[in-house]
Amino acid sequence: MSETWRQFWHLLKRDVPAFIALIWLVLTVILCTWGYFTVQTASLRQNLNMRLIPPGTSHGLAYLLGTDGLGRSYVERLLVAGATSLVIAASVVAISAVIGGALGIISGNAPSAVDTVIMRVCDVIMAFPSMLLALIALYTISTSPVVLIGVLAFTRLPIYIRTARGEALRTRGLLYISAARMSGTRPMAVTFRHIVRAALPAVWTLVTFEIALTMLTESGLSFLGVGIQPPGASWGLLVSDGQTYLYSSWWVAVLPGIAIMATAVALRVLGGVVSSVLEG
Amino acid sequence: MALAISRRVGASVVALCALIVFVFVMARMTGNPAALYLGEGASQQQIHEYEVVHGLNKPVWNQFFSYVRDVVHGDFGQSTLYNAPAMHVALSRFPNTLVLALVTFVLGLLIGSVLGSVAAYWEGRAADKVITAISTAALSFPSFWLALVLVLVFALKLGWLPSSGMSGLSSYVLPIVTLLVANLGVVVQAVRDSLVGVLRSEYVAAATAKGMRRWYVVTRHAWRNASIPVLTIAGATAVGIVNGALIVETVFDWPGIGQVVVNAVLNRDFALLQAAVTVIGIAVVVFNVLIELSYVFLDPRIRR
Repeated sequence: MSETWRQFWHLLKRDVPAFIALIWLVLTVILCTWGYFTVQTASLRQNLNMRLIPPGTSHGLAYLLGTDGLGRSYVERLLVAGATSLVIAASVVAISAVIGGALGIISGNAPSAVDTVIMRVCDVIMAFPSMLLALIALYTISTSPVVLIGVLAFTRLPIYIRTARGEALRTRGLLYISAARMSGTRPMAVTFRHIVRAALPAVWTLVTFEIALTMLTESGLSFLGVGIQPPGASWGLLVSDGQTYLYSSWWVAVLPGIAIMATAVALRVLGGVVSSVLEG
Repeated sequence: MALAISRRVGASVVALCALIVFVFVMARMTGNPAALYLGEGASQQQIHEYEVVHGLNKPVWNQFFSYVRDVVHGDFGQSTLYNAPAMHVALSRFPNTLVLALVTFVLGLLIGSVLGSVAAYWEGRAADKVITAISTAALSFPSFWLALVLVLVFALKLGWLPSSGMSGLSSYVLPIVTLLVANLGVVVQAVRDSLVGVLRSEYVAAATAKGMRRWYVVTRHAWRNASIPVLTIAGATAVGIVNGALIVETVFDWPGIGQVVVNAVLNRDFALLQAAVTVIGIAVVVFNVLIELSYVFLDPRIRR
């Protein structure tokens, strides 16, 4: 493991964009976590005398990025919303990676009938436009964060299943796996000790890219009004709020969008590095 | 290959049926349609009469079978929101979305192929790096945000283009650009990766070795073989364009089927939702069939 980290660090040092991406991500995670625990109540405090103050005026640090339509500090709003966006994206990816990865490994090792069923179900899930499915499910079941996470995780399952299955099929025929089998290692032990471990790099790479994608989908659903509900906030919902003041106060809609985009770009850039370290 | 065609098309058909059943079940499970249609002030008597007229007092299985029978006969019921036959509303809005989707798809393939080929041709050089960076950024734009920024700049500040609605050619520009950006990101990376792989193959080396000009090798030999994985991914972007249409049509107040879906959901107009989902589903199936057929033209090995 330490060798992997050293290699990761070695690549990062020579790759300026990836280095900046890492710094952005670390800062975002730390600041949003801090914001979630300290300024959450403050971020909801309205002050109608301070409505729509543009960024950069001298009203102190809390008003560095201006205020929204209800006079709430936009720095604080952005941090709290960011925490929600990140937690939702991370939960979705964690759930679908674990379930999808497990199903993929099972599919790759199971009798062909089971394998076929799992792969056909994947085809069907991928034929749904995910946004349409999420929109319908969220509005008919309920617009709670739990349903949001569940639906998004469901629509992303196939990609993990396919990746893990591919890795399982690839490693199954390798010499060291056959050697382990022939030396009497039990099938379960072979699966967990060797096949799962061999599939992990591909899944880790996928996870980095998928967090970016999930964050974009969540923000889209929140924008349409079926994702995170007020007074909660996510970056997508903040953009939606800003739509009303687009002409007079551009920053309300523009800033959270920049946050989404910067984080998504950073994850994709870093995903490239993760991929080249783990998968050669 | 015939098997692969039926597999993919079959998956879309199953997905469509599953979605229709899902919408039906959810529609009956969440709230009484009669109470929703008649509003807050309706009396118990009125609700009961509405239920009898629309068969809502029968068991759910009965309702489902009569619903399926109606659907097979092309009757999706009445849209409560537009007060018109649901299928009629869905079909009348569909062409407006189809235009956006087709223009986006064709432009995406054309521009994406050019940019992706340039990147692959000069793999690892400056042009490649710039194009890869741009396509990464394009994939990371939240489309609703991009739409709002475009409106802010080109409609509100500069006043060059209309901010919403469908009126004349200029109103098509912003919705198409918004849909195109995400689509381009996918296509450029697909073309680049596919072509880079093909350019490393032995027949390309052979063609170059016998003295063919490199650009000629790319256009005459490599493109055709690189196009097959690209088409697979382009086919998948059709589903992505449906996702994008939901958002773009909402932001630009575009009278297409995506807007119908969002309005139907927000107003609990389930008949309309079912009709719209069916139209979208059939469009995705037809599109997949066309993509599969184009494989046959591109790869003679499939014709056997």
